[in-house]
Amino acid sequence: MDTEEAVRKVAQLKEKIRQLKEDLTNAETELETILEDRAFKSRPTDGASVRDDTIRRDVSNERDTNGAGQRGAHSTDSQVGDPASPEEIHREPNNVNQTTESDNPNGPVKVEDDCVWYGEVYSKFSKDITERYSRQILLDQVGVMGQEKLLNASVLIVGCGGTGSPCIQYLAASGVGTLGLADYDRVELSNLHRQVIHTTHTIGQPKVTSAKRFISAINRNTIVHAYQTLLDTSNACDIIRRYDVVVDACDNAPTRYLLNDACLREGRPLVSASALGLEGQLCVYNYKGGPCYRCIYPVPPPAETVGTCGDNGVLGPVPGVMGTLQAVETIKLLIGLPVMDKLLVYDAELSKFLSVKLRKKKEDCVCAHPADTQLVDYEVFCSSRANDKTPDISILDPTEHLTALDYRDEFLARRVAHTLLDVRSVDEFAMMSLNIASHATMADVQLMFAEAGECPAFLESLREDILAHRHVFVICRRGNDSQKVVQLLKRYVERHRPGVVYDIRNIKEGYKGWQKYVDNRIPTY
Amino acid sequence: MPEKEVVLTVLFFAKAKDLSGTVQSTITLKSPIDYSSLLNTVVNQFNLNPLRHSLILALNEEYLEDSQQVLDLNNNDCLAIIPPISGGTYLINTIKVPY
Repeated sequence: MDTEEAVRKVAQLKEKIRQLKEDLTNAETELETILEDRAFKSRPTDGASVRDDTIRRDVSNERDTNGAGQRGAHSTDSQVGDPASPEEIHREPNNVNQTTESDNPNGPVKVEDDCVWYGEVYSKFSKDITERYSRQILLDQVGVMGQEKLLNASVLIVGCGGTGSPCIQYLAASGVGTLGLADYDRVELSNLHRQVIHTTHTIGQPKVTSAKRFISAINRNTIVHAYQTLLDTSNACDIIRRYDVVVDACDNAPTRYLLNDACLREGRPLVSASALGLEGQLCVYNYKGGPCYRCIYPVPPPAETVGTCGDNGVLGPVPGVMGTLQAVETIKLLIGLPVMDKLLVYDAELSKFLSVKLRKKKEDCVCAHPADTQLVDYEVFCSSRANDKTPDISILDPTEHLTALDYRDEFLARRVAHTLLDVRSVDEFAMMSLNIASHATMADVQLMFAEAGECPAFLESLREDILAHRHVFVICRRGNDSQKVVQLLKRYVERHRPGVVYDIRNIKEGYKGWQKYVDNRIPTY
Repeated sequence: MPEKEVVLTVLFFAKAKDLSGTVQSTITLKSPIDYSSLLNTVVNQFNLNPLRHSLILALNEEYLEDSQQVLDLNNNDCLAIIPPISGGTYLINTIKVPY
């Protein structure tokens, strides 16, 4: 499609929208007139007061329209509607307050709109909406106005994982009208201990689909837009623009910087939370003249100092706490309460919250001129990937790899004497390992095969055991760390065992490979 | 401000815990001190060099700005060292074999 055609199409669609809007306004006016007219006609002539034992269903498509004007028209009349109207349902007077929609099929008609008359009673919201949110409408800080703001609000949640789960849950439950969900990933069994909106039934599904299903189960009024994509410079601004607030519940530095910059450009506040291990952080950026993420963390941390949940682990409720706090701040922001202007740090190990009073905007930061913010390649900027997956690397010669299948067939099946050295952590080894494997952590290995320095006696004997066989194979979780050990071992035997020929190789793809090609009954993690 | 020697409590968070090998420690400093000398001393004493450019120093729960202004420290002041938390994995070309 060439530019001209595209421009023409946009113009045509805009015109269509304009016309539809006009039609809508006309229809609304017409409806208003009819309703007013009917209210007037149904005024009782004898002036006797009438019980509100009739429910009238009003038809109204727009949440916001009709409010004050109709209220005025109806609240001044204290009478029932036209009994002949098919939209009215008569009930026993005493049942008015006991009957619910679900247990009486002839009960009040289910209403989708928020302006409904129960006889002469005016109700801001429908019965369903009033009842559902009553406990929060009762709060002075929320009230009917606050609830209305929530119902009309839209929030984009980036990341449907550990922090995203409770945040999505509470935002949907408290009535935020529209939720956008962005996540490229699919649900895995190893997600479920912390990503509590996903279930065993949704394993393998896109997280956004699973999240959408969850939302519809707790609040079918919520409009959900699902984006099963990795946000990047090409799509972030277009998506962010459609929402009032952005919730950053992602798991990586590149996406965090991307969201910051895109929110600056589009003028959207960013409620950001992160969690790893037993710690979490929460902060609201780019709101009411406050700092942006770059003001606080101008330089991304070096990639080798950054951990992932996949590699370092995370205690389930810790992202849960952060995501819940994130929902609290988002709701406060949407209804216009003052939000947290500090960086909240949660340390679950010490059971401690620390709130750091933040700086003002940094003068030389990009946020000084938000409209000029240019999006960059964030993976390069952070020297890390915008996902939680560890890539497979190879630093060895192809001949230095041994596939899991070949290892089984050539060495295990033929009972060839060899050493299998497992270099994962103590807990990973305890969780699952091949029976034949010897174990040494990466730290042990570095001591054992170091160029110089002291080596404890127990490691020396382990080193002799390892080198007792000519065939030494190194295995780890994914086959990355083990490659470094192969290099280290080779260097060591060259120096310390001259003239002895060793066959030192890496088990390709580690236990992941074993699971994939040899035995899929072993757990993956 | 009179020059004096003060002992501060230092709290470590996230990756700073791993690098320093502890959650809490103390440091003896000369007061007054400027931001960069404070950062240098802390980074060197606690082995935090990889995070030097990506951490927040918070003195008594208040963000310290990187400015020329000198800081007046007191005994028992609390200095928190807070690097960002975020997952994400290495790009292939950044992987270095450290040994």
